[in-house]
Amino acid sequence: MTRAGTAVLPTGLAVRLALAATGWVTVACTQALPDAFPLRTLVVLGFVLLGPGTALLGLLRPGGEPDRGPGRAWERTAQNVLLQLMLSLSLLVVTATTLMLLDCFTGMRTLLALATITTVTALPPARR
Amino acid sequence: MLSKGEHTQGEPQASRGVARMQESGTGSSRATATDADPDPEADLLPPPGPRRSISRSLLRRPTVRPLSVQQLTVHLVRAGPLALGIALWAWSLRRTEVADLGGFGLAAAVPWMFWAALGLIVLGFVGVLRSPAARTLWPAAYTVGLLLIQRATQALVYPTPLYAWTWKHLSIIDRLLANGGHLDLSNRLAAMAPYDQWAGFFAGNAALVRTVGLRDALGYAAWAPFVSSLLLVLPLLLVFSVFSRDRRLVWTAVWIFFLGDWVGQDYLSPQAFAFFLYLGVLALVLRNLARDVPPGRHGDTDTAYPLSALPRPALPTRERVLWLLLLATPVAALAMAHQLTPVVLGVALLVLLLVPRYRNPWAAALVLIVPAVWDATSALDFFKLQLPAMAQAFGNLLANSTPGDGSSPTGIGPETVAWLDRGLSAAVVALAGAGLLRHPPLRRRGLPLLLVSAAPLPLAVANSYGGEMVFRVFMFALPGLSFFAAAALFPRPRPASADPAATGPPYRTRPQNALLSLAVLGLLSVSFVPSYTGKDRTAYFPPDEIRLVDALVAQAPAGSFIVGVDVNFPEAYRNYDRYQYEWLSDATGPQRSTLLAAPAAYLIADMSWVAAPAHAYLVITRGQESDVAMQGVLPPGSVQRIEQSVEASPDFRRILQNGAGVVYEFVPPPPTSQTTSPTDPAVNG
Repeated sequence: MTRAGTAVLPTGLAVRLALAATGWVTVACTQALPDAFPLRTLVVLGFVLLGPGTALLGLLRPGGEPDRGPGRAWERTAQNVLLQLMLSLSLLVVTATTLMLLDCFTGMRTLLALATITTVTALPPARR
Repeated sequence: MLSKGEHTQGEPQASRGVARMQESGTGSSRATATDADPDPEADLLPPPGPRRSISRSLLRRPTVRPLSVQQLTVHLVRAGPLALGIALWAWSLRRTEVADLGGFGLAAAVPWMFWAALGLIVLGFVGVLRSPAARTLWPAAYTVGLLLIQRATQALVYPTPLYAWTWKHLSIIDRLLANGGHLDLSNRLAAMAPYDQWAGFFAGNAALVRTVGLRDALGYAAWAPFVSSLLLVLPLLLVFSVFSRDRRLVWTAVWIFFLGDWVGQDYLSPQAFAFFLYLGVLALVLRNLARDVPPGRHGDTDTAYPLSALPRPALPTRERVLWLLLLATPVAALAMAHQLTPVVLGVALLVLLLVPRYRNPWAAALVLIVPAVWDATSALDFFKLQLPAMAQAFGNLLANSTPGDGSSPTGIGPETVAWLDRGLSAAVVALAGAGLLRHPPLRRRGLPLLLVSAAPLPLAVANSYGGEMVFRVFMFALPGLSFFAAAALFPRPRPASADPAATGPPYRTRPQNALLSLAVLGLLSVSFVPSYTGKDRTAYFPPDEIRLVDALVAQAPAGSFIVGVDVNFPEAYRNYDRYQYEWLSDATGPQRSTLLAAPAAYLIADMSWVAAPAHAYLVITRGQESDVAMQGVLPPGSVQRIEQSVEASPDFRRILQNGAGVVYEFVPPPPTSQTTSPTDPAVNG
């Protein structure tokens, strides 16, 4: 486990709890803050772009770091950020589309589903 | 900020060097050749060892010494062109006048500061690449600067989003927001049905709009090109760094990609999103799903080649399974969001089966089966309808690879822009060829990348994709082409030792090479601007035009028939589930002759089926006229002829008009009248 890797990925109970809570904090923001309020926009965007992906990555992160050596630090970070973005956006798309196919789509339900996924995948301890 | 060479107190340099080598050992001596470019930023990391808390590290840091004049100069030299370039660019935005664009679009409307800014960014980028200590953050900063100039300019200069297709996609999102996300998977929506059958992108946007609390996606649509391009930087870096350890080559390849990506598939569209996922999946596969393969005849020399890289190590089975699990979600999202890209990805992974190092049958199976399941369920009606036509189009290479719908650019501006487009693409392809010839080790080591780039070519045979296929093929091939094109700008290193563990600083390039890079990147940058923005006259719709169409849609009853000269106008598809459409420019052969000979009569025959309470309308806008004229879609003067004919006809009533266009309503004569004169004064408004 390399330093740059841990800087980006969740370990430790406190971090896992915080990550698990991000979705619910976002839900709270959408309820408490007015439409298109800047803080609400930032929180929602931040969660949607990074939250579920970070949690899923923490759960399923493959080890066997093939990149040794400090010169590869930026590659590890870049890969982790890419995974966080890809997985988060993909989960958004899959969740929203599934809800639409089931004819029960609303923005709130999508957010709740993502928050649930984030919590469920963030809480289990890291495998190593 | 500690500069290179300084280190935390009490930590001798040598022990850190030893510790670093131990950390990098994987049991094979080849591992020490991991990085021929020792990362100077590593000197700033605390040495490996037991983790110490952050506060303790801070307490032990020596006081930061003020920067010397030399260090300040270095920072200024690196930052200067970027800061000045962005400032000039921002200034040029204020001086750009978009009210009356000509045949060269925005490229002719931007002032000299824009071009100066572009030049400075290119100059600064080439400059930072020459300095070994600035290989990550500064090139990244310059890349963001390039993307701002390339793809944020239009968002800042125009009050409304560009491209009729952006408006089409906005209408789709609006419809899903309005009807509660109810998808219609049948073919009832005709040409718009595929957007429901592959609704992923629109579903995601609808969810985003709702959760942020926006009314629609209009507010951020114009920023899609910048954001979607910014997202691509990460996967591009990762793909290129699999095949080269030289960061100058990697960053140059990233730049050539963005300079060559003029096709404009980056706007708010499923394709832009799908392309990001495609590159991301490729990056992860190439980085993490390699297999151990005996080096072969050239293996060791290829690895030692300064521009090349160590082959990626193979991971144990358990980790490979985890990677497949991780990839399942993006592949599912890709299948739900786009028709074409999953096919391209599937073909790419199939082609990689030919390369022993990347033979991954399970990954290929995943990428082929998931979209197949989607196509057989959600998108089934599409294939039931389209398969016969697709089977017919298959194999018709000439028809499928001809771009567009038979249109040809007309006028000095459009013709020049078309040549610049082709020239830019040809330049990238030619450079790629040169790179392949110049660096045989890269050719051999980069074979997977080459195959993946060539994989979409057979699709040009298979289908025309609405005339778009050749552009999509180029776009999918562009990452690979960019890598080898960048290699063409680097000289062949002096023969390296045959020792695979040989490391050392990256080989020095002479100033002449920097000048070559500067010239090539500069030329590509300058060609990019008209290629990308040259058609803005047809792509930009002033607010007047939007108001006109909005007013039409506000009064058109459900079931109405909307006819336009051409599809190129904003909000063309607003409330599209309630209307039917026809674009006169689609008429071919004898139909077209009839239309042009007697437009009003043609339209009357065309619209006569419409029954109350639905109405039929003809929309003519400035954007349609530009498109028809600049693309040669109809003979010159056709639009004026159609308008005059309809204006003179008693069966049409002008109901809306402003500076951007006019809308006529078809008012059929009362069905019962036989002896009355054809003109009914009560109807002629």
